Amino acid sequence: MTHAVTTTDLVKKYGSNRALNGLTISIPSFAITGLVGANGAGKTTWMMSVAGFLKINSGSINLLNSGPFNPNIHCGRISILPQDSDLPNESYPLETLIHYARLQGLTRSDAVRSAKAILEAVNMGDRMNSPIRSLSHGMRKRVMIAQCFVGNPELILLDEPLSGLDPREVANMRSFISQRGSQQTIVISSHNLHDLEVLCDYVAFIKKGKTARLRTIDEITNKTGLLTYALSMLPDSTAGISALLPNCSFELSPETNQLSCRFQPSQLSPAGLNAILIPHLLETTAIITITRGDTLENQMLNEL
Amino acid sequence: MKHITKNDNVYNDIEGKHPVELFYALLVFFYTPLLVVLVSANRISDDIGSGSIRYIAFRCSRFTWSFGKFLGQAGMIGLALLLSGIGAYAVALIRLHGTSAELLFNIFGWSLRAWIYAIPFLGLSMGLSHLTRSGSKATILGILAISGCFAISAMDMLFRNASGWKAGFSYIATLVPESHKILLWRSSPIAVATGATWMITLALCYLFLGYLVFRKRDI
Repeated sequence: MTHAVTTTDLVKKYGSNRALNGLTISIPSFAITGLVGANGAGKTTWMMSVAGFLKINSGSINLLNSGPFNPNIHCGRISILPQDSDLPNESYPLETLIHYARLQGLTRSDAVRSAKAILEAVNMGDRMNSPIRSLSHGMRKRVMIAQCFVGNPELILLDEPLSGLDPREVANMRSFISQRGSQQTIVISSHNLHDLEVLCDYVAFIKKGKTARLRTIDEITNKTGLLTYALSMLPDSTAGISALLPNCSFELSPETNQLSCRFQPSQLSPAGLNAILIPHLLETTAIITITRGDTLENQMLNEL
Repeated sequence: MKHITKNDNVYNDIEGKHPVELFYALLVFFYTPLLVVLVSANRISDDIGSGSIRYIAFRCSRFTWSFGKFLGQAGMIGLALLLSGIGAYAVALIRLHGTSAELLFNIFGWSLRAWIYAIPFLGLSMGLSHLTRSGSKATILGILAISGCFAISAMDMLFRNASGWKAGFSYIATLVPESHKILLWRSSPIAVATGATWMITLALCYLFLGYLVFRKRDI
């Protein structure tokens, strides 16, 4: 696996506070990676350090296999959606994106084409010539996301990209971002774990600016080895089902009326498991839902 | 007039000039530094404060951005001074008889000189603008800085023939634009070119001192 960004023992201090305290992480190329962590864990600081906005105190950054951020090398190859940063209010979305694309080295005609295509893709085609100050918060956010993709950079860092968007636009943006995950390397920092679960191929848990565990989303949510049954009434014990399926482990959650079944995908398929378990359960209770794997939210609460 | 100019060469150069162009020249040389600081001091600090620099900083070098801002502002000020020159000529055209194309040309000449005089103040205010995220703070810093420049220049004039530590003001005064302004009032192209060289050099020094802090700071 190749890596688009590798940071090693990264330290960034704000006075006596260490926002990054020796963070080591490698971001896989041509995939969407989510950064998960509590407030102040260092996600935004990491992104800002990678983009060259912050001067790190120690550690190393290898960006696209060519060292730390250098405008002469990385201009046009990376982009970022920074948090809490305003676009120039008196300019226009199309004009702004053309300007940014020109700075990235595109010719005038390519810049116009790229800016228009991206603005259309984020549903801002009808407002591309309106002053930015006249746009709503959500529309500005879409322009901010669009500026990341103009000129097709290799690495895109998105800090809370979907916050402040209405549900329809969240769905559109998710589809827009996920379409690009195979062509570009995208890193997303978000507290909306459902979005990350839907979008990401990999997720990294960051804790106190130090530890970062990167795993695939399937590994984290255990999509291939866990089925959860929401039941109308829980059985008294798991002894009966354990006798039926001796190689599986069962767990009852009385608070949520759920039965969790962990199994080895190499020994048993989900369909095989259901074929045995469902008739047995239906003798005593009703099955409301069956879910594959755990949620990222549950995993995060366990990890952090 | 000789008393006002306090300089025989300048007096000889401006003697016989049209009163409108002299009044215009006096006005633009007097107000331009303050106007430049009020208009330009927040240009960089506001972008750092609002975070809009973060949309640019990964697309070009900080130096390119900073110097580009300076050139852009210099162009805007030049345009404003050019328009003020046209305004002065329009007033002369309406109120006075006997105005000529030569007067317009001369007024533009003063606009150009005032623009050159404005450049170090632009460098100073934008250099200071690199140091803070607050536009208001940058404006206050700029006003304090130009006040300091005028104070140094005044001390230089006060202690012109003094000896000892007071004589040191004549050296310090070379670092402020006021000391070289007189060259821009001369008719000789060599004197104006020398003045312009001083002004541009000072502007770049002020700007780069601010940039040196900015290039290492978090944005």
